[in-house]
Amino acid sequence: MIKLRDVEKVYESGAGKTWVLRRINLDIADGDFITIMGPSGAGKSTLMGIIGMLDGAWKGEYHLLENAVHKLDNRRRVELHKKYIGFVFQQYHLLDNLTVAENLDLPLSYRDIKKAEREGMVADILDRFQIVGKKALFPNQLSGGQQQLVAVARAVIGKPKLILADEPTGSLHSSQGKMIMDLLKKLNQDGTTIIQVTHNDAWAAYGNRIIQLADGWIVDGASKAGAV
Amino acid sequence: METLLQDLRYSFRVLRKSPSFAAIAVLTLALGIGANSTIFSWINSTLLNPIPGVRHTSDFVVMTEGGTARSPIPFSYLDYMDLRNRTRSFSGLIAYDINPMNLTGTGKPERVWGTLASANYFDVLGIHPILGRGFLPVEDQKPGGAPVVVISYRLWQIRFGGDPSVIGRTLRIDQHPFTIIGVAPAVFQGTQTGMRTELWVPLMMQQQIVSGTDRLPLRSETWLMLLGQLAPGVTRGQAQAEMDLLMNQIVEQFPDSHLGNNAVTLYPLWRAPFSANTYMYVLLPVLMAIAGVVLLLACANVANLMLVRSVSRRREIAIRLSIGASRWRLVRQLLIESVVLSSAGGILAMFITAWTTGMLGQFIPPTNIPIALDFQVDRAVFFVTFAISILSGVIFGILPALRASDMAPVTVLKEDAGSAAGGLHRARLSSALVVTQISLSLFLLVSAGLFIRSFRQAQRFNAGFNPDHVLLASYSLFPAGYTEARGLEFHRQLLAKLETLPGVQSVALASWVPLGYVSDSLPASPEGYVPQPHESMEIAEATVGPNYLRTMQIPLIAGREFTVNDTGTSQPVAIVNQKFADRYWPHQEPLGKRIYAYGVWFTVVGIAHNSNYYSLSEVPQPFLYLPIFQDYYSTTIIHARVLGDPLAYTTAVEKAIHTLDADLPVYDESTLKLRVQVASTGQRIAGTFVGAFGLLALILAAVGIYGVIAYTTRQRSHEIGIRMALGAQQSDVFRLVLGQGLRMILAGLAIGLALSFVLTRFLRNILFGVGATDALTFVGVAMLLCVVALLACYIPARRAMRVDPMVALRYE
Repeated sequence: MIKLRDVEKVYESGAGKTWVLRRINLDIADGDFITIMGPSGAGKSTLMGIIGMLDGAWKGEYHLLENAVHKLDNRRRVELHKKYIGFVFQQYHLLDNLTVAENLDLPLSYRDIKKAEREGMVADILDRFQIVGKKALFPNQLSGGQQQLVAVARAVIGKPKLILADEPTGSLHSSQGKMIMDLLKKLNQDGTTIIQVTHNDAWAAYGNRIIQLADGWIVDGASKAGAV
Repeated sequence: METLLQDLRYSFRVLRKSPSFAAIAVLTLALGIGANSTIFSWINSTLLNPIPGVRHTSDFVVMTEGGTARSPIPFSYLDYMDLRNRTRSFSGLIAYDINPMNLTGTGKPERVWGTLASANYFDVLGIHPILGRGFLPVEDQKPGGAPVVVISYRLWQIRFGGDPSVIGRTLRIDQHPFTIIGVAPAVFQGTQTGMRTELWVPLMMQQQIVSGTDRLPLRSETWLMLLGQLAPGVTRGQAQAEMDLLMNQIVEQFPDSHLGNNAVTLYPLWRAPFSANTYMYVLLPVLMAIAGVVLLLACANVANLMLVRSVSRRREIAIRLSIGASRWRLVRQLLIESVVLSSAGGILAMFITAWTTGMLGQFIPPTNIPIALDFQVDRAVFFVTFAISILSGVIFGILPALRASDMAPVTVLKEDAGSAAGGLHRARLSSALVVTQISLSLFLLVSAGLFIRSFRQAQRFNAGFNPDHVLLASYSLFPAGYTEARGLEFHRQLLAKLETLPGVQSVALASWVPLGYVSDSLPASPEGYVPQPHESMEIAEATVGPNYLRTMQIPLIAGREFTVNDTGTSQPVAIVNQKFADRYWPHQEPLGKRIYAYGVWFTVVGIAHNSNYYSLSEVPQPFLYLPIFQDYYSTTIIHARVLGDPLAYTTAVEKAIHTLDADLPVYDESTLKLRVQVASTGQRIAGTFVGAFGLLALILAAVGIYGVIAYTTRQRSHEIGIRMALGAQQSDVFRLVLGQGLRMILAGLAIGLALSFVLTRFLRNILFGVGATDALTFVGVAMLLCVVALLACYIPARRAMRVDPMVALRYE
């Protein structure tokens, strides 16, 4: 599903170049549940940003489902992102001024789906995540776990093939964290590819492969066979 | 469309969450947009719609014969008829003259202004009376043979209570019976922009309306204004060429009655002479341009507010990007928010405009002509305001929207809430906007300073007479049925009575008031003077009574004033001004010289000091005074120099008049001081409005610089904390922050001064007594703005001094 070849990310400053990612070579198959781990500053979030096409300034080759992302302009990358990718963040990142239902509707509206269809999709996801009773509430009226639940619901509402979860349980206590991880596992079992970033070994165990990053290098887990 | 509505709904919600920001932005924009919509409402009511009720006014032109736009000369009836019969350039050519008329008969006696008009008047203008009819061609044929009148809608309502059976009733005008044949539509008030007339009477009735000789058969009597509708496909230039040709033929045919310059000039209605547009077309475009700068300034201010505010919205925008929003979609959403703000500003601006549009009329001082500037907030004003609002929203919204949507969402989403990395770019843009604001503000303040100084100069200007403590009051004898002999006797008896009133120091009668809207001139030949080829011998003139110069305090250089003994049976005499003597009789003794006018020789008995007659900025011009007891005027203005407040003498003067004739209306009671303010009306309007714009600019600049310095100081609190932890004193921090502000201020002032040097030259035509690059104004205004801007920096600088390094570092 994903093939990264010699992907590099560098920041240039007056003091010289700072490498954030170095020669990343990575293959991820359809249906994988990948965990990326590593210390702070290892480049985990940067790698997520590149895979999620939120970061455009990098070098190398990136193939997503037969699409050569590195050859696409920004507009086409946005299209690809909208079609295949859902994001979950540590800080939930729901929009405070929108209700739960509106937050769920937002990614659909960016996909130019008609209103009637969107309403149906939002109703389905509310039902599926058992948050129908919360649909009119604003994020600040929900607990952290509930907010993250909505964030996951928002990530999956567009039926993405890939979910990128950047420390999805980082702000939750353990019982809420487990609920979210179970949910991600369920989604993975239903066929969605998942890449998560976590510092927690227990949550890492939910995945089928762990990739270790350090100082911008993949030090372990680049392929099922090990580091490249 | 549906997502657009969604963005719109979200915009309302976002703005409701930030009521203070929304209120400040909407108010700022409302003031900027309101300034523009107000000035546009004036342009719309004058330059764009010069004749309310008449469509396609761009097809019409006004014509003058000789003279200038400021002091134009009308046409004789016979010249008009010749031009009308021979022209092919015009599909219609109308002639008219505006006069005061006394209404008697039904109801209370009343003095109104009416129009003597050619019979094709309503047909050419395309005005259809709402009751009855307009004039018929037959009513243009026999002098005295068409005693019919079309009345205004207003008169119909006020005097006849809107009675539909008014047609056919008799109205006594100037003691003569006229049959009412029509009622004009409510919107139509005549053909002179800014003047309202209530009656329309055929030209053939001029002898019943205007005192004096029968003007119809006299080619030398120039009294008719001409207005023509260009034939389809004919340009103004082509019509001008034809009129030049036709007028030359007429002059060659009748040289004796066409002395001087007889060149025909065609004016579009938006800058027609004899109307308010003569003044408006100079003033209003300048005001509109300045209001445009005010709006730009308001936009820069709101753009800065949006930029500052976008910091707190970075997370939201990053989330939107991360869940699939394209940059264009985000820019669109942010622009919709801007347009919602500017539309709210536009709505408020409409209310402001409804209140301010009538203000211009209040600046017109009392005068003896029926000024009726009826400014309306109509559909055109609404649409232009709407368009300005939308445009403003895009102008101030686009930069912040582009900047806000240009981010790396991953980085932003990993930041702690409230962190503001990336603020440096924003601060740079903000600083650039503040520099723009300061430079635009400086230009506005310089313009305001120039106009205010100009107005003060106009107020202080010595026009050659003393306007203080002079009461003016008018009466008109012809409409009251007086013959010339009875009128002269009335003038004489009244003067004797007024002179004895306690507190009256000096009193005189005159046909005019200087520096007003009206002027008179006559073709005259100074004895012994041989005119240059094509030199106009049309000389400005006023008819005045005994003691006029003394009452006006115009110095008499030589000779004597007129006396009550200068009558129709004595030698015709005249007083000329110094310029007249210097121009026509250089190095000669002017006293005793003669001037040929009206078919008689007038002997010069006095030389008056030059004064200003038509405007404050005029160069001295030859001027001729004729005695009122020889050159009879039935409509006369009393000039009474008194002790104390002139208006306190109004009752006494009325009483004196009514002891001679209890029914004679006294009107236009005012003071000379007020009436001559007409001359400085432009300066007063510009001074007031541009002054207000300047004040607004000053406030906006102060708020803008305060906002940016406060914002960047907050951004730099970490840096300031480090500096203080490393040993920086409070004074160092103060200097750091103030220095940042000072750099922006100096850059803004430098650009603003350069801009002002270039742009103020366009104000030159409206300024009076002050140069367009007046150093005092430039330096004074720059210093004022500098002080205010530094004060705006002072508050955040003081706040920065109190930064606790531990708190600042922990926060970060």
